[in-house]
Amino acid sequence: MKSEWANGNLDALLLGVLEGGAAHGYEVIQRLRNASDGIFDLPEGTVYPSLHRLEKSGALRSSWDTVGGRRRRTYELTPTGSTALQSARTAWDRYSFSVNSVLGANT
Amino acid sequence: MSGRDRIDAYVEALARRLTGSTIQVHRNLLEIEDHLREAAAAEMAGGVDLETAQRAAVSRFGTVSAVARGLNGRGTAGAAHPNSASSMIRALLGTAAQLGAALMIVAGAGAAVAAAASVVLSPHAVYGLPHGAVPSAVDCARWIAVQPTATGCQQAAAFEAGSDMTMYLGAIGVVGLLLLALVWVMQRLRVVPTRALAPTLAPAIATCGFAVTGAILLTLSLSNVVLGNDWGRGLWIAEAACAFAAAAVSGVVLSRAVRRPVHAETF
Repeated sequence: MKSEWANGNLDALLLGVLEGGAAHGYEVIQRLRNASDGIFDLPEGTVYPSLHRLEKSGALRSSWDTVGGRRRRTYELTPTGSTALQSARTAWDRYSFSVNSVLGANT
Repeated sequence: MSGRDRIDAYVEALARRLTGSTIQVHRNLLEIEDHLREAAAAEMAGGVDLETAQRAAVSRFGTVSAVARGLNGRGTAGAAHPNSASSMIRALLGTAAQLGAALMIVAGAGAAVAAAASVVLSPHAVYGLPHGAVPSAVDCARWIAVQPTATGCQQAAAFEAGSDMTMYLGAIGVVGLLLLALVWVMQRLRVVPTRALAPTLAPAIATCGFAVTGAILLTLSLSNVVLGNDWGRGLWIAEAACAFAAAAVSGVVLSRAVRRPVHAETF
């Protein structure tokens, strides 16, 4: 259930963790796990297709450098990604408010 | 680290399943290896040994098939779902077409070698009638009619056989080249996946197939030289030589495919 939820909102979650600064894939996953207190503990390989898709859409950009003799790809948020993140936050606020209303949390 | 470890094996298995452009696949593999090695290093920092750390890193990353599906399923035509029946069938058909094209090209090359040999030796030595064959008067008349430069029935028969075989086998070779070009275009358009099958598959089949074909042709040609029971002794030998040459070339390609490291391509 938790993984399904995370998968359904993964793009927004990735934009959210990258708002804190550029990071490579492994670090993105660590941030996601830590920020969710371990709730979003996805199979790590599932994150890369989303990162690539977000880069293709212009929400992220990536660069390569060499760290410890290995080539490393680092992702960072673009202005388009920041706008998309704000939209996702607004949509989530509305959605969570609606869900809470139905569940009685707002009464 | 020297030698091939669990992460190398995982990345190599993934390399065989990824589709897309060479540079795209290479980048994905670099990125994933970096991830796995960093994850393993983090595990080792927690006190576990290398083997355990790498096993945990690979396990958390996901199965090769699941990761490949995710990385290939980015909406690129023909690149999605490398493990799907459609993708595998297209890859198999593409490989079969390549092998068929190679066979046709070798047949055409054999005809070219035979034609060259007929100039150096004689048309009769390459394409001639079997020893002691006595053609009918009707056949002789027909051959001499279509080969007016021939000085006799035997030479006319050799000229005619050489002309026919060069034309037919040459045409087969040209069709093979066109088929090979078609497969290449289909691969560029991603209609035919290039990485759905093991890179050693086609050269392994080609090496064995051409070697066996060459052995059969050589046996037949040598028996034909001795027994002289069929047309075109030299043509058989030329085709056998070309089959062996193709087997040797395929063997070199196979050897390189076996030894090629996953990350050998420049980036």
